[in-house]
Amino acid sequence: MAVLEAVRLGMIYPNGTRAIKDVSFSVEKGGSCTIIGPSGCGKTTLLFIFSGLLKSTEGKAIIEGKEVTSPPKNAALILQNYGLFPWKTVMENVALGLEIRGMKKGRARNAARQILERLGLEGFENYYPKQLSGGMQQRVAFARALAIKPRIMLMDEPFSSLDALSREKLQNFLLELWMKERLTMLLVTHSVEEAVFLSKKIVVLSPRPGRVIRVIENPMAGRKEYRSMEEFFEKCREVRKSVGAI
Amino acid sequence: MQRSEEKRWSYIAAGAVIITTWQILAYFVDSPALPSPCVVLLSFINQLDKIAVHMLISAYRVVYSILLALSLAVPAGLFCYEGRIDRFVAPFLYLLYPIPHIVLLPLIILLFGIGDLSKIFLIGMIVFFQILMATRDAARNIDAYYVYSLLSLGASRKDVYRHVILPACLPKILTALRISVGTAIAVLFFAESFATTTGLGYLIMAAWSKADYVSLYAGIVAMALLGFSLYMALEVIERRLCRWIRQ
Repeated sequence: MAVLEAVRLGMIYPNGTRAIKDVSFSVEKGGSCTIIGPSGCGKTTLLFIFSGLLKSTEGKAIIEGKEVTSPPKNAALILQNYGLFPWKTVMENVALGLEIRGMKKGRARNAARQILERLGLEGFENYYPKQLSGGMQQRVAFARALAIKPRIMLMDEPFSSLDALSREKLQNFLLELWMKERLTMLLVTHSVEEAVFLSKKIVVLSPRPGRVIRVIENPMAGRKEYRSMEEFFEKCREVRKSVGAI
Repeated sequence: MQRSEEKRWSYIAAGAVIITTWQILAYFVDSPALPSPCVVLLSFINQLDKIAVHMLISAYRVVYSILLALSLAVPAGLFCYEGRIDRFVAPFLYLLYPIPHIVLLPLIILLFGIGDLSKIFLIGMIVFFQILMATRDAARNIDAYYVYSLLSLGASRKDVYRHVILPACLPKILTALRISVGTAIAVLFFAESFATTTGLGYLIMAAWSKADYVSLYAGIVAMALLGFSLYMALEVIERRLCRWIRQ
């Protein structure tokens, strides 16, 4: 059964700019899908529609059988830079989602503490985001997303502001997370390697207005070793060709 | 600990430099219009009872007006985060802010009498615009991604104000407050220079009219102390509320 489904999605902004046109794809339960395309092709728009932050002007975005009209309770959104609030400590950031959903402060903090421990962030509860490295900040963002126990993760270039080494580490981390938690993931990126390493399905969008020009299946994804295998490079070449062949 | 110790010494050093410069100037100017700091300090201590009463009254007026302005300007400024409210507020702000509000004093006295209320209203009005301007600017410049990030967690409009808009604007509000303390004291002096027999402004004007320059400077010192203690209070508040900036 498809958990995420885009049905002929289209978006025209109030100023007349058309961001996406006739975009359809679906992601199976426990699957991972990456949307890739040149900058300005409407990738983020697409993700924002699924997060319920933007309303599409055409078509439907469906999550677990229901059309998205407001931020879905079963999905967590991770943004590239500004996900964390600099005025809140690590603990406050992670517990925030739970408190907003009506959990008592004490219980929310307990739940947050458990997640921080699981992600190897214990001891940093009282730090402010600014005091942490980029990679750790992004891990806190994952902790906050996981705290609300989502079944779906929506990610907008989650690693784009990290250096190459922390980037690989966090990609491995996300891969493990995905396998362990049996999450369904929808990721937006402009990095071919990231797309191939992390997702079983790669949706290639055209320049603005973004349309689906190819859907590439990538069944080998899901193992850390994949990164150094010949098939990985082969797949990267294939994806790069369809992204570059526009 | 070490840092607060260092800070204390830098204040003592600055105070020493000011007093020394004053002393040197007084020596060279050699006029009753600039008495030496020792004489002024002595007079300050001798009249401490009297000065303290006037200082308290002035402090009450300044603090009251700032609190009044703050309680109106901050919500108004924060709501400007929303474009449709800002479109309504901004024209009023830009049309009314540049007027020298002090010239409205005759009208204010007519409306509120010559008591404390008209003084508080005058100071409050001027400070209100300063705080509103700063708060509005801060609210307009909040990165939309913070709001998206919160909304995606299922936040309501109230949550957005509580967890994003207010904390994001707080540092700028506190800066505006610091500027407002200076303005408020300047306006206070003007407001207390007539139709009253209380406050530091009155004390200074009364000394001036009697050509009692020593008392005049004692009044100025009291005003400086009033401003300084307000700044210190703001520092403490900022350290509490904006811990994330200093760390």
